[in-house]
Amino acid sequence: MTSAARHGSGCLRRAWLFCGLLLLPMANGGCQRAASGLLGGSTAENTEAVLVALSEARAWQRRADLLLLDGDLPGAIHSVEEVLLIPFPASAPEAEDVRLDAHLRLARLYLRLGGEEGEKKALAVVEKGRKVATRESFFSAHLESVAADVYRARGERVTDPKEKEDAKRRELEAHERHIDIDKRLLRTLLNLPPASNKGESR
Amino acid sequence: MMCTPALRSAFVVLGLLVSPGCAHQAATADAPASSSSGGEIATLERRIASAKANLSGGVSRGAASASAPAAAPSAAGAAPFTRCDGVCQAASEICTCHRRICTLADELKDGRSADSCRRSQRDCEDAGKSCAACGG
Repeated sequence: MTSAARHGSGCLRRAWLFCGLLLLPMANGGCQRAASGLLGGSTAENTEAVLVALSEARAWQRRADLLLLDGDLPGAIHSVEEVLLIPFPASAPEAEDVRLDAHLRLARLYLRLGGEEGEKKALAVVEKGRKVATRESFFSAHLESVAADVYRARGERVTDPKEKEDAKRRELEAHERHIDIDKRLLRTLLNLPPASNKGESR
Repeated sequence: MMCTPALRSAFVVLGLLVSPGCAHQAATADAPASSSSGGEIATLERRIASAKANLSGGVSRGAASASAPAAAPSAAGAAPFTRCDGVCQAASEICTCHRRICTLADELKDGRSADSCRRSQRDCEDAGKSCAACGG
């Protein structure tokens, strides 16, 4: 290891010391309750609650970045899981995007665990993400991209020709779903009416 | 509500801490390790103190404001996402999927996947035209 790399690693550890101290109030639940207490108030309070929740999500995601730099994949997974526990005001449209983004990252991190177990966990997170989505967005499209990545990994892992072929078909179908969502998003962005289903089914 | 100022403080400080600080340094680990760890911690502590003072509307508001542009994590280079950005992003994703679908179709060698490849090619071309028409 070079001295620069050692310095970087030491620096990360120091950052962790700071982060640990700063995240302690969140971890003990007291502040989470306080944030929840903001959720039913005025518009200004709700705006503040959304900003607090977004900041918390950003902090957990950044924590995951730092852990990944240190090679701590389980720690990063735990950090991203925390994003899913953040209480947002019920009416905040940002909540869905933040949660979908967390599902996406979580699925990708599980996939990095490798093997059948990692793939299963990643697919389970993708499925949960699909249930979270109440509208189509780039986030929901990217869930299908992650599903495709999982099937691609499966196709590369398995040796049985039939299982390999099945994985490829599922990957292809996931790409098709991704395209379908993007096409609808594109039409919305271009202010075009929804396409008729005739001849569009895959 | 009792904990809210502390919570807000923690978030702001955490944002200030992790955005421009050690993570960036670790990511560029090949750079010469010129600053001592003591100096780095002192810098971070100054940032924290500055952020806390700003949050509580305290005496060092002016000083905190002066340091805010460099430290504000949310203001870092995020250009607004326009409608055309969205159109071209969708087009790019569609074409990425199309290329992979056609690679898979080559391997699967059946009518259904060949159809999927052709359809996705059409989708990619149409989306590319939409992006170009949008100025992308």
